[in-house]
Amino acid sequence: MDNQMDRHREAFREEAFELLTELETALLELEEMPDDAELIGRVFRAMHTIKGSGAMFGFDDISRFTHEVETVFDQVRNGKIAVTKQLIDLTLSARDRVREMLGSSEESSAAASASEEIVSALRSLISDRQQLQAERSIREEESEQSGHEITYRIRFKPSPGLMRNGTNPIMLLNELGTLGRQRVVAQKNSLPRLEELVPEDCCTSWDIILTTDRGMNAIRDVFVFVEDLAEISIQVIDDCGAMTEDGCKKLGAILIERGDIAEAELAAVLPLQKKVGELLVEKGIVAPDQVEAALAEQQHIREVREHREKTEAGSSIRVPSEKLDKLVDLVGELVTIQARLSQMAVGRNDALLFSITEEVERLTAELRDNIMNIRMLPIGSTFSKFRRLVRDLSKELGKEIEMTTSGAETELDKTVIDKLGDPLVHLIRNCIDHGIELPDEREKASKPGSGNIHLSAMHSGAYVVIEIADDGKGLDAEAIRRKGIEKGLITAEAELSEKELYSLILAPGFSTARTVTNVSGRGVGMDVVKRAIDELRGTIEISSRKGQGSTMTLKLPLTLAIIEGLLIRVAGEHFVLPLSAVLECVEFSGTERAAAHGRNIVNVRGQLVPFISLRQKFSLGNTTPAIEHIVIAEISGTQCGFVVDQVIGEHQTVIKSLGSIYRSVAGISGATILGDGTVALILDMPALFQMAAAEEISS
Amino acid sequence: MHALHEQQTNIGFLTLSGDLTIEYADELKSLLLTALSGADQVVLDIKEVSSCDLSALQVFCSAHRSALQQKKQIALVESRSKVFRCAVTEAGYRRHVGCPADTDQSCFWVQRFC
Repeated sequence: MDNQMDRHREAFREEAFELLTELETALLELEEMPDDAELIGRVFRAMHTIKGSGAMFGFDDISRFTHEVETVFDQVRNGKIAVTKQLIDLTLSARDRVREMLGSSEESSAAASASEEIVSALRSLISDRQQLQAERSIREEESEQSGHEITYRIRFKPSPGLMRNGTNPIMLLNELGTLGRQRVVAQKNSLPRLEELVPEDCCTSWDIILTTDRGMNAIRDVFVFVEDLAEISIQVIDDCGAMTEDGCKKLGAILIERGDIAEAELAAVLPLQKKVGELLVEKGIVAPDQVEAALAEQQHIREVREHREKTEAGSSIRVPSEKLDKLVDLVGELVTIQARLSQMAVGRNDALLFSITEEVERLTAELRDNIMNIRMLPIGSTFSKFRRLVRDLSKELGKEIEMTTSGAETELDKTVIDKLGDPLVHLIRNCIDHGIELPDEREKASKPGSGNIHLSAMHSGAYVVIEIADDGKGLDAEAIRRKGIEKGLITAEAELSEKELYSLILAPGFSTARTVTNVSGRGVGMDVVKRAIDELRGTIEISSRKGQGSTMTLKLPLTLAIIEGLLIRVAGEHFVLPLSAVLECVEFSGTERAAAHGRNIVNVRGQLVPFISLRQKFSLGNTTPAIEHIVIAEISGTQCGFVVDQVIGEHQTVIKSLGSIYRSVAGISGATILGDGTVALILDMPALFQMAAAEEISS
Repeated sequence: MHALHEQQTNIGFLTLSGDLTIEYADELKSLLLTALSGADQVVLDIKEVSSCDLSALQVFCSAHRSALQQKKQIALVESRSKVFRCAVTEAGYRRHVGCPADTDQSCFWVQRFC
C-alpha cells in the first residue's frame, strides 16, 4: 500500500514539475501581455491542479502554499486586481518555492519563513474582503464540478395564462442557462395575427437544448413554480458518449424523434433530394420554427461532441522513460537480427524465405520508426526554460534582451533533448554576457537598445538544426586569432578561413573575455559545449559579422539509438562512420599516394585535404590494396579524409555502448552488430582528427 | 412606455421609448393596430427602449404577420438597441430564415440581430 502511495506521489511530483514549467512559461508570457485572459486562466489552472493533486497525495504544505497564490489569481481572473510586475515576480518566486518543496522531503525553518514571506507579500496585494470572496468562489467552483456533462432536450410549452400571474418566461430561460450551455428556439406557430392577439397571453413555446453536469433535478427545480402552468418534457439526448449512436443525428431523425413528423412523411420527401428541412417546410409538414429548433439541436450536439473528442484526444498515458529505453533496446536487437535474416535469405536463394524476409524487414522498419517516434518530444519545453534565464540574467547585467523562438514544435529524441539543455544554457549565457551590448553601447552603434536572442529549430533530413542567433557585437576575429596564437593553438603564419578561426573558441581553455564574470568568461563553457555536442554525434558551427551579431548552428541527430552510418572495411575489419559528417568518397590510387610524398595530404579537385589512414591508425594488416578509398568528412569546419579499403554503403546502425574496459579508448564511440553477427566499431571522427592534429604538431 | 405616432403621407412613424413590458402590452397592440390601419408602411423606432419582455416580442411578431397579410410593410429601425437584441436572443426568437409568410424577407428575427 505504501509502495503504491509512493508511486502515486512520484507521479504527482513528475506532473507537478511539468505544471511548474507550464506555469513559468505562462507567467513570462503574461508579463508581456498582462491583459490576456487566456494566460491568466493558464496560470490559475496550473496552480489549481498543483493544489488539488498536492492535497490528494499528502503534500499538504504545497497545497496550502499554492492555495494562497491561487486566491490572488482568482482576483486577477475576475478583473479585481491587475497583473503587475510585482505580482509576476512574486508568483515566479512562489513557483520556485513549490519546486524546492517538491525536491525536499522536509521543510527547513528557513524555507518555511521564505514561504511565509511570499504569502504575506501576496496577501498584501489584495484586501481582506476580496480574499474572502475569492476563497468562496474557489470553493463553489470545486463543489460544482461533480458528475459528467449530459445534453438534454427540454420542451417547455406554457399555458396562455403564464405571464398573467407575473411569471417572466425570459427570466426562466435565463435561469436555465446558468446550469450550462444552452440553445433556445422559440416556437411561435400559435401566434395569431395582431387583431386576434391577446397581448398578455403567452403564445410562445420553447425547445431548449442544454448541456450541463448538474443533473435532471436541477433542471426541474428551475420550472418548479410553473409546473402547473406548462407542459414540460425533459429528455436526455446525449449522455457523454454513453449513448451509442455514431456521429450526429440527421435532421429528419430528430424531427421524427420529437414527434414533429411521421417516418412515412419523411420517406415521401427524401427521394426529392433537397435539404430535408426546406422540403418539409415547403410541403407544409412542419413549421420553420420546428426545423430551426431541430437544427439548433443538431448543431449543439455536434459542438458538444467535438468538444468532448478534443478533450479525449488530449488524454495520454504517462510511461517511465526506462520502459521506452528497454523497448528501443529490443527494437535494436530486432533490427540486428533482421539484418542477419536478410543476409541469410540472400545466400539461400529461396524465393519463399526471401519474401518473408522482406515482410519482416518492412515491419521492423515500421516498428523502429514508431518506437523512435514515441520518444520524440517537441523542443519547445526546453526553449521556454530559457525565457526565465534570459529574463533574470539580462536584469542582473543591466541589459535589455528579448528572446524570440521559432520551430518550438520540432521534435527530437528525449535523450537528445535532455542532454541538450546544458550546452544550450552555456551558449545563451555567452550570447547574453559577451554578445549583446549594454543599451547605451547599442544605441551608440545605432542599434535598438533592446537586444534580441533568437532560438530556432527545424528538421533537416534525419537531423535537427538548432540556431542560437544574437544581434550583439559579433565575434572579434582578430582577437580570436591573437588568443589562438598566444595559446599555441595556431601558428602566427597560419591562414585560416573565418569558419576555422571561429571554431577556435571551442578549444579547451579559450576565452577572449578580459574579465571573468560569474556568468561566463572562464573559458570553460565553449569546450564543454563542443564535447556535449560531439557526444550527441552532432556538430556545431559558428558564423558571425562584427557589429551585427553571431549565430551558433547545432546539427543534431534525431535519435541516439539508431544512426545512419557508412559501413567501410579495412583489412577485413568493418567500421562505421556516422553519415552525418560524411561529404563524399573518392578513390585513392597508388599514383596519388606517390604524389603525396609520404605526407598524409591528398589533392581533391585542387583542394588539399589531410587524411588519416585507418590501416596505419589501427595497425591492421600490411598489404595495402592497389586502390583504396578516402571518405571525406567535415569536422569543425575543416575537411578531413579517412583512408579505407572499401566503402560498403549506408548502414542503419544500432548503437551499442562499449564495455567499461573499452570505454576510454579514444577514437571509438561505440559498436554495432552486423548482419553476420560480427561487431563493427563506430569511429569517433572528431576525436581521431584531433589526435592526428596533435601528433602532427608534436612531431 | 411613451409613444409618438406621426403620419407622413402614406408612412406612419411610431417612436417607442421606456419599458415595453406586459403592463403596456395592450397599449402597444392598439398603437400598432392604429399605425397599420392608417398607412401602407409603418416604421417602428425602438432605439430609446429601456426594457423589453416577451409580450412586446409577441406583439411585434403578430404585427408583422398582420402587415404581410394586408400587403403592407412594417420595419424596425435602430434594431441594434442592446436591450431589444438581448431580449430577442434570450427568448430564442432569433432565426436563420423567416416564416413562410415572410415573403419580402422583412422578418424582425433574422440574423441581423446577432
